[in-house]
Amino acid sequence: MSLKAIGSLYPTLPLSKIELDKNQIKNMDQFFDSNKELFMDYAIQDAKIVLWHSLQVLNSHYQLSKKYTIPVTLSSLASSFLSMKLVVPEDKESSYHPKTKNGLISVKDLAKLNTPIGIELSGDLHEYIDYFLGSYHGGRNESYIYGMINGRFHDYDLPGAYPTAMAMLDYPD
Amino acid sequence: MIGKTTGEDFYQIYQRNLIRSYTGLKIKFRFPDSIQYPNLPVRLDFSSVIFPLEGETFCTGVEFYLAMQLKCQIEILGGVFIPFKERTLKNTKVSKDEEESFMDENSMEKEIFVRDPFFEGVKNEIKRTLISEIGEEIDETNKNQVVDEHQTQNEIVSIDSPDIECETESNFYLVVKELMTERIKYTKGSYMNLLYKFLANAGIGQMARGLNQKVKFDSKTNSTRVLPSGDLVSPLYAG
Repeated sequence: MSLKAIGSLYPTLPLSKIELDKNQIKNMDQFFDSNKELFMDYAIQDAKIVLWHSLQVLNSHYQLSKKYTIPVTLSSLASSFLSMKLVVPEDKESSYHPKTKNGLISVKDLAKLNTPIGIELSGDLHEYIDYFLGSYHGGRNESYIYGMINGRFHDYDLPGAYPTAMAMLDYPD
Repeated sequence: MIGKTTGEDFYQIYQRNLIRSYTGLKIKFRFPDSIQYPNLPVRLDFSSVIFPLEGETFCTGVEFYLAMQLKCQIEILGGVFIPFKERTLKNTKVSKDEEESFMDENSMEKEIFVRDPFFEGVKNEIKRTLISEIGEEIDETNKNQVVDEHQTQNEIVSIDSPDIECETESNFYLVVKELMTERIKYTKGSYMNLLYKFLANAGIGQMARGLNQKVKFDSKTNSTRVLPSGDLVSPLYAG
């Protein structure tokens, strides 16, 4: 998100980004010389937006995961929250990373699997994990038409596609 | 584990269970020439994935299922089938005995457990996820959004009411439900609304994080390093 968009997340606070014209943005040195006061306001306002938003994210991280760590990124926040909910459920034993029969290695220990110890101690996990690793291809990106398009075209979006897919998952047996 | 067999035999045994399982397969395949958009990905090199009419690849059970619906000729070279632990619908789980009989080619049973066409199955799964309890609210939210954006087009399609019930709810479902329920408490576009939206969207990505050993700049050490995996990473869920 742009800083302008981040500032607009807090409409009740004076965190709107100060708008400059293109010339001022391109020539910051000249802008500083010609209007030092506005230059300072512009820079301080940007810093205020960043500071406030950082504190919000830190607070959210603590509220959602009961952890206080830095730096916090949205990815690490999501990871902490979902780990708490899925990997260590409060009400029952985690089935997220089921261990092999001997209880020594789980799907999570990928780095250990392709070692002599990993292969020997992972039961049959090392035999089948490659089928899942090989099946992971990421999202499909394909462009069927290149260049300028004359005429009508349709742009389809799937609202909530990722959460829907995640909701359909379950622990492996 | 699954040995060599034909796609048709495997398909007849597992059918819709493939949607409700973690299945990884290595296959050879050939689609009819009439198929415009084949769905099986094949890697060409380190960075290119194509979707050809013919080839050899690894795929998930759902991808296999869709390919079979497209009349693809498939030879299974090997694989593994792991059913879901919870949230099992009636008549959709393959028992150990049934699975073992499939492994033994001499006594292979070709019983069809569920006869739903693939798209009907997927549609029902999505319905069940989206249109129960919170789903109604989500659906309404999305409808409003669509109306705003396409008021002049009159092309809004609503989803039918659910016709199947969920026996149990998985932790995954409950987490998504919680996130969606929290999200709609806040104004659209607000910090909290976007935060819950991101948390819900990030789940699948976090499950795949680090699988490809991608290199990323690390500001702590001022150098690049392999992206580490997190607590959520698992090739089963990522696929």
